[in-house]
Amino acid sequence: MIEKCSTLEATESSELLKSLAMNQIPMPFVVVDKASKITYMNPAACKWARKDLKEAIGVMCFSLFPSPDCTLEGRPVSEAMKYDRTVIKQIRVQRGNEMVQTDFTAAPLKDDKGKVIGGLEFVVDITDRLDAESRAQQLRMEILELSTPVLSLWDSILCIPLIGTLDSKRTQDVMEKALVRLAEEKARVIVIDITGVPVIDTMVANHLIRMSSAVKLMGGDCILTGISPATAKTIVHLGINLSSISTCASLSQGLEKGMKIVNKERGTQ
Amino acid sequence: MEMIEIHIESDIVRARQAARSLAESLGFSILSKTRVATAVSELARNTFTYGGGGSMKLEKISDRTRVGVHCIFVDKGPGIEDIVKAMTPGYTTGKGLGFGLSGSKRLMDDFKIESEVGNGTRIEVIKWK
Ligand SMILES: Nc1ncnc2c1ncn2[C@@H]1O[C@H](COP(=O)(O)OP(=O)(O)OP(=O)(O)O)[C@@H](O)[C@H]1O
Ligand SMILES: [Mg+2]
Repeated sequence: MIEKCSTLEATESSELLKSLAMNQIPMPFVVVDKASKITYMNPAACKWARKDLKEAIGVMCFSLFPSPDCTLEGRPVSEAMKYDRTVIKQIRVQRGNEMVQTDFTAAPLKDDKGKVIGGLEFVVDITDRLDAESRAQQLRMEILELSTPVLSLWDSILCIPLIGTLDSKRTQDVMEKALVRLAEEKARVIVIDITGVPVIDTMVANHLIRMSSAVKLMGGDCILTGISPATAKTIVHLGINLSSISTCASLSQGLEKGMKIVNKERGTQ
Repeated sequence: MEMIEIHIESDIVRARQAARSLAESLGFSILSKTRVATAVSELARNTFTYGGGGSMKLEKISDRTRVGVHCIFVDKGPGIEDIVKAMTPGYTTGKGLGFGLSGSKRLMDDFKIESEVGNGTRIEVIKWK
């Protein structure tokens, strides 16, 4: 007797729990029949569509949740019912006057024998997530910009302290920036310091060699500094010939050499 | 054992950092660590650039007398038609210097390459401490 009561209570409270949960899921949730007519939607969906549940029932779901990103047959819920699988798409959905970026999930609704009798739709507003992602992307770009400065160290001498890992984009960016500055400031020498670069592989070496020949073509000189003994040996082992670039052990020696070049030319003018 | 997927460019950095820290934990010298990191950088970049992505398996290896770093790069890309040519210093089908493969062979102690056109490439390297 006692046992029976407690199971009854448990079922009751779990029914209650279900309905509470269903009513409070913060994302829109819609149930449709096979013709895509709405048979139920939760309060979040009613709020999104600005309709009472009563008004919404029987309405085609795509008229309350219109999306410019899919055709009628291409709607996630049509696909989910047709192929009996969960479909997730990133589409825009209209809400009032605005277009909202969403993760739109559709799944088939089946009866107890497994026959598809309709569909379920969940709409997750991902505007904030996309904003955060694009802000992060923006930040990455800014850091990229900051982390590859080209400094005017001395009259006619530019310096690029390379720090951290160099991917192809970053290497390309800094090289291009340096060449532009060389032309703009009519500089004569570029000192590239690689003390802070953990690995000089063939890609980085290739960029350095190209950079150096471009600088030469523009009538300048490239001086490479800060190559550690381990890096120097490794470059040689790779088989790369950096002899076309003049090198100095430290940044200060590189600057000294650069100043000699500049002064010598001034002297002969 | 560690599997590192190589699908975007920053995976190359992850791969070489993982290899370097394994070498570090085994007590490799600075020079040996640099060699390992550089070779892994080369091979991972080839996997990414020419193999269309793939993976690196990274493992500690030991025999009776020594320990080492063991890496296997696998991709399901187009494969290499002429391995002898590809291993020749200065040979490239891209815009590189063409020193990656021959160079990493020299940087490592063991180097094994298998490749089948249309089926991908597998490169296995070992650096002993
Ligand atoms: N995983 C791979 N799949 C297919 N082809 C490859 C692969 N790895 C290398 N190759 C081929 O072998 C050639 C030589 O490779 P290698 O790494 O020596 O030079 P590179 O990558 O062209 O230039 P570098 O490494 O000097 O920047 C490549 O140009 C490419 O054609
Ligand atoms: Mg290469």
